[in-house]
Amino acid sequence: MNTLKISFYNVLRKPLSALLTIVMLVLGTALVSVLLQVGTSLDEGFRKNIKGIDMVVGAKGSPLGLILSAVYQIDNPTGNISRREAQELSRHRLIENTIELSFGDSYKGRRIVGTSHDYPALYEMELSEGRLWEETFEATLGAQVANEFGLKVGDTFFSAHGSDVEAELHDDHPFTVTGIFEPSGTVIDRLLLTDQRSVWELHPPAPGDTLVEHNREITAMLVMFKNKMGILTLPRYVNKETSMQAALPAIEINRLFELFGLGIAALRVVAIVIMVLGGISIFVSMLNALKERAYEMAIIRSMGAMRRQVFGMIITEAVILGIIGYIFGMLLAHAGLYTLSQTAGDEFGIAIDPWHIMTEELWLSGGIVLLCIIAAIVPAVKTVRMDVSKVLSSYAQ
Amino acid sequence: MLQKLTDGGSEKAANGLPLTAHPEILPFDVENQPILKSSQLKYSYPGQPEISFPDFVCDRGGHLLITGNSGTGKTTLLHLLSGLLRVQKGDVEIAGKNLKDFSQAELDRFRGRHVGLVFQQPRFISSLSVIDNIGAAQYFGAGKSDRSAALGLLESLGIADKASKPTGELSGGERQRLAIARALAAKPAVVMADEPTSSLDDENAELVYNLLARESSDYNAALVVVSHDGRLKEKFQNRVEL
Repeated sequence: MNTLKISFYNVLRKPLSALLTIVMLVLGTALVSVLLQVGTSLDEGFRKNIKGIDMVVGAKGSPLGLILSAVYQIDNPTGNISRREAQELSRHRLIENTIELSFGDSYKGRRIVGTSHDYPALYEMELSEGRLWEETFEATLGAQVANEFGLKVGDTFFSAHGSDVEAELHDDHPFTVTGIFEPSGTVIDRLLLTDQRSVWELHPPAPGDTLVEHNREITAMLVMFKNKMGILTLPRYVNKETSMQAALPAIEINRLFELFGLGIAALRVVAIVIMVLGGISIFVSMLNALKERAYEMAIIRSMGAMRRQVFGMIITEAVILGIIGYIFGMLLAHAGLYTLSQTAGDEFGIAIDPWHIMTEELWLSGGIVLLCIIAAIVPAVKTVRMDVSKVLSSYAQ
Repeated sequence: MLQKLTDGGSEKAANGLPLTAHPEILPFDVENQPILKSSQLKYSYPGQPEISFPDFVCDRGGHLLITGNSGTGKTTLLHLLSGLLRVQKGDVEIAGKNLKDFSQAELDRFRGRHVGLVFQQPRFISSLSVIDNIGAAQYFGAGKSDRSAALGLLESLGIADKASKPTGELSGGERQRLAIARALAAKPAVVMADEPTSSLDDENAELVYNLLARESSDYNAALVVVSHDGRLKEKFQNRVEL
């Protein structure tokens, strides 16, 4: 028997009131934890996929839409651009390297991207089996796609027009799987990469168009600058002097995160309010219990407990609630993150490790314990200040 | 056992009652030091007249009854003797230690270690079981709890079968027994009881007194009872009247 044990039993004595407090602390903790994790994962995920891409060139439209479609393969493309115009741009003296992307078809909702071997090289992709595509209608698959549809090297599949799962199949040209990438946590995990010529062959030009290679259209082009000077001049040049649009991923993603940031900040306020309510719940229930506990505390003092022991006991009760709330909050949050990681990764190509605990989450435990201590200080001070003799006499009558 | 210390046989206590005992000087060697000694003790609550208490001593293992009608300050005296109230004037010594010399924390420790208290209304830490209430008294009094000793204590008071029950499930008589067990839990040098029998019928009053007397003897503790219960007078040879 010791003060910790007494505190623990005192918490259990009012199970409903304890439960209410714990529920608030759990929800607050879980929300803060999820916000931290998702915020960081989104941020990391988005920045990871930018990799070395300084600029994206595509059809005119929303610059954010262009970035989302060409870099993250989320949004629909803004349209097509002329390959010839794109290739002229790529000879600009400030441009180091470019990667052409042609997309529009899909396999069961996953995008098929026609590109060069530079594209997987940009993300430092490794093959887990097979080889990269060489011929038309050969494809190399991202780990998640291969895993999701059980595709193996040598398997064949038909692409569908557009990105709808139910879209019309191009059933005259089967693709053959030549290789599968290692999981990378990047956008490529969700893509099926093939040669650009495969995409062109599936979409022959309208009758009358000349089938000249450089007359083709592509969807977008990723651009890497020779030096950062390109940022100053190239986007303006592209937007003014060509029929194409240039967008800077870093800038667009920062804009996107400003929007996200507002939402996350608002949710964080909600989370903190819930936690503070948990603290207030401790404060109120302890103040309410003060009178009925006075005699017991006097008895404890009469048994030889010093003021600081009684003070410690009351603070400990609040800390026990805080710790329980934190532990269950973290369990709830990470169970939620586990569920999210099974779906968000698919949707956004963002890798959440649900069992990774961030430093900020450890700090959160300190914050919650502190909150509970603050909530219990006034009731604890009031309890130790009481006149033991008076309390004992008043009940003897 | 009891000796009243007065300056002279003819002197009267503050409440006007004659002090009947003979004046005697006690030997002050450590071995035979009285366990409890009160001298020149006075106390006043804010805005109320001062209460003066007669001087008295109680030897190690001795029994002492302090009687007085309502309003004579019996509970106040008990709280002064046990250190629940700070001494204002005069001295209370327990085992040769003057309670005035202690800080509040030291006083709490000292009380927990050497004084077992029994109150008129037996109340407990309701979130703890019967045996854990004994454990808590052992912990606060002696620094650590001893489950087998606690069980032994409950056994000798005949409530061992209730050890794991919540205290709320005890009957009135069982609660009184548990209160006695708790007072003895830390093996104190003196047990002080405040009206332990007043609210009980004759049979139970007798029972509780016998338990108090027997158990405190078994644990080598002196017994100081504060009560207006006339039935106790014949039980105590040593009495102080307030």
